[in-house]
Amino acid sequence: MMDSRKKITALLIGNPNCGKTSIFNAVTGAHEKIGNYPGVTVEKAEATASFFEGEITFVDLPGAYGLFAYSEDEKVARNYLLESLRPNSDSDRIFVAVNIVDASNLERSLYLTLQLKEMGVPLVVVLNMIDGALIKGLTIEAAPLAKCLGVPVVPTVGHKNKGTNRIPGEIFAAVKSADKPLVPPLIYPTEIEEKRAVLLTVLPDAASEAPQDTFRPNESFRRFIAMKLLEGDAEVPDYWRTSKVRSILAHLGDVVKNKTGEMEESEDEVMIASTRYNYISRLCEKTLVRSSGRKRSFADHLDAIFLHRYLGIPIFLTMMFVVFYSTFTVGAIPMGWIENGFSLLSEGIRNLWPPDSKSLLQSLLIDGAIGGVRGVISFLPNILILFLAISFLEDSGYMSRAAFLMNRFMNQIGLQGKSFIPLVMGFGCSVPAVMAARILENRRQRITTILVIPFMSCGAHFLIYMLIIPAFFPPKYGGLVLWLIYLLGIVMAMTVAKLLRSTILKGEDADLILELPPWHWPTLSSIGLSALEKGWLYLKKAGTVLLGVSVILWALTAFPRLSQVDQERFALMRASVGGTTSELTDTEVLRSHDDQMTEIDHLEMEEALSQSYVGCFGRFLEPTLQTMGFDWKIGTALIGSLAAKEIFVTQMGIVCRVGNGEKNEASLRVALKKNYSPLTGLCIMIFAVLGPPCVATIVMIARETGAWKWAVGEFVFLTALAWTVTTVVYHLARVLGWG
Amino acid sequence: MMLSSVPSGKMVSIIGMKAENGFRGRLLSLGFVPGTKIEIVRGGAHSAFIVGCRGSRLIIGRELADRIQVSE
Repeated sequence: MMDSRKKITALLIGNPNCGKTSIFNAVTGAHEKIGNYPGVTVEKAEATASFFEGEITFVDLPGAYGLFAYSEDEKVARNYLLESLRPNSDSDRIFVAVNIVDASNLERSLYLTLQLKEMGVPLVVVLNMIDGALIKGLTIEAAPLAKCLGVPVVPTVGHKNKGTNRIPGEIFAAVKSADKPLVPPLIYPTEIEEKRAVLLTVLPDAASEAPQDTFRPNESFRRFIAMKLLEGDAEVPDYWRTSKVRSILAHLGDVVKNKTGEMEESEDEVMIASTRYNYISRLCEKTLVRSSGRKRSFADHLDAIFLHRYLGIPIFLTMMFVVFYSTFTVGAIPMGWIENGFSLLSEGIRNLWPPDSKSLLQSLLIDGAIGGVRGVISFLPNILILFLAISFLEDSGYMSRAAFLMNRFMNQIGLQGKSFIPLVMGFGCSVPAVMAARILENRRQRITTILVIPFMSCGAHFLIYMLIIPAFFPPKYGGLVLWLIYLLGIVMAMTVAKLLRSTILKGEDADLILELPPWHWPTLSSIGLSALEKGWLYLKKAGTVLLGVSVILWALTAFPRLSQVDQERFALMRASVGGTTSELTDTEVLRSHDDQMTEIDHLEMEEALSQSYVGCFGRFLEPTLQTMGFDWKIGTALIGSLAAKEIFVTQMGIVCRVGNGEKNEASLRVALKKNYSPLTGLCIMIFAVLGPPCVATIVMIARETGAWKWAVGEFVFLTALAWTVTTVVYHLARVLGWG
Repeated sequence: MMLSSVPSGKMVSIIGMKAENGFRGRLLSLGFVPGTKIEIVRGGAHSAFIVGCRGSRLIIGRELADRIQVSE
């Protein structure tokens, strides 16, 4: 009987593209919590839901084809599973594996199921996408499958929420029921079974042999570990590899893969996999009923078009164009509404004080807080649309096809088709893109891909371009300039990738294996949820990091305040102008009076700014900045943009003090045009596209490459590259008499 | 013969593979075990191949296809 105090954690595990997330959303109502896996930082979705029988915490593990970790995602899923299943006597938590099986791809999916079964973990099998199987002409009988595996089998259509309500009940049942053996048992060739028997005699089985904790593996788990060792799994935790175990393995002639990744081929591995697949084939004969069904002709027609030898790439480029075009045109509409909302809010706050107040709190709220996040939040619609489009491309199965189309080209720059997926995601945001590079198994290719992602102009870069381009370039050339800037990033990404792959990250081209998922029309709810989740993370960033940085930057701009002497000087200037106001009636003179007052205000701000911390630091950097045609004001904005690219825009607003603190983008553009040349505008964009990414990306690079040297190296290299290129462009243009 | 030399549309069966760095294990876990029948959906002179195996389709790079031994 289950102890009522016990808490249940259900680990959702399944192949990539098995519809795991839709099941997760269905059973939890999608109230997930994004967290991190211990050790490696990976986005982890976790949610707790209450049911009649009790509470279950669902954990959505990354996709895995088997329990042999080949990719980073698989490693995370596998290690999380192994760690969770160490039955710790004083833990009051029970772990249940919920294996999501793609019914339309039964044979391959069962490979993972079989291994979970071998592990002896409490298991529930969810037979998902039975509608997809029907289209392929496959009917699966759940009963014989459940009988053979000795576990409950729940048929579902996750994305339509069909059958998913049975899952929690089966989880509670699985916890209570005993581990049932496979019928018929899975028997490996005599040779393998004999080796395993020998290994089992020395494999630790008591607490005394495991370090510290009270780890008591049950028999199936030990047998599973023995099999993993025979397969040559390098990641089997060290506490299993006692000296006895190692000497037996050496004696058996099994070369065990060591942690440095040097691998020797073991014929046992082939035999073990063959045995499992043969078992699965026989199992499928019993449970799969094949009928003619609908032919795959429609999907094949789609592939004939989208993967066409000559048409494929033009179609792809057109699709990319449509994605970006719609992102920025459709997104502009709600962006306007949000902008108006912020203007009203600023106005409301301003009215709380008398008109000419110099309140520090007012300035903090309007210039620091609102000024800092408005540019970012108003950009949310564009981000949502871009993420929606990227999710659509991924869910529909097109992304894999694009990877196929681009493979040849990517090979030429030392990467491969799969690298293409994170690079496209980089147009949205570098942070998830760096994480998406995990699909690459080859470490060198993965690091190269990660390091060139910052060249893909992200959503926040776009914000900078949209400030600069309308300010300096006539509308008819705007699109062309924007396109050229994006292209510059892409060309540099290719060049740097090629360079890295032929120097410090040299190595053989890695093999490409990627599943070509069936075409699938994504449901609005699935891609909508994923876009909303990313949008929420974006908002959270705006509310925390960006808000904090904006306030700090504001403070650095506002302090130290002008000295008493200077303040009195400006007060005197005002008094000399203002003394005559009452005698004036002529509107002409009145206007000139107002102009003079504004002029004094500007002078005072300019003076205050140049004496502030930001001003001092900016002027300290000025010699380096001048070679690129930047003044210290642009410099401070560039430094601020390290926290997040969006800050460039807000910081320019703060330093230019547009319209007495009213940071209206249009007036900021006017101020920019007045103070800088189009060449400076171009140089700002070149520096932005080539320069260092934001801190969040740098941190993610360090985490994903596992070494700070890559992150720091990236930062130094990109800064140097951007500085050099921008300087050369600036001086070349000056020599040619432009700007 | 090697998988890379099989033209589109043919069915062949896997004999063995000489893939390294864990790619053999990956292929095995995807069902590329000796004796398995696979369909070459896109073969010939591409930089990548599309192969149908156990009801699903996979993109396999040329390098890897050069190391998978098959027979008719």
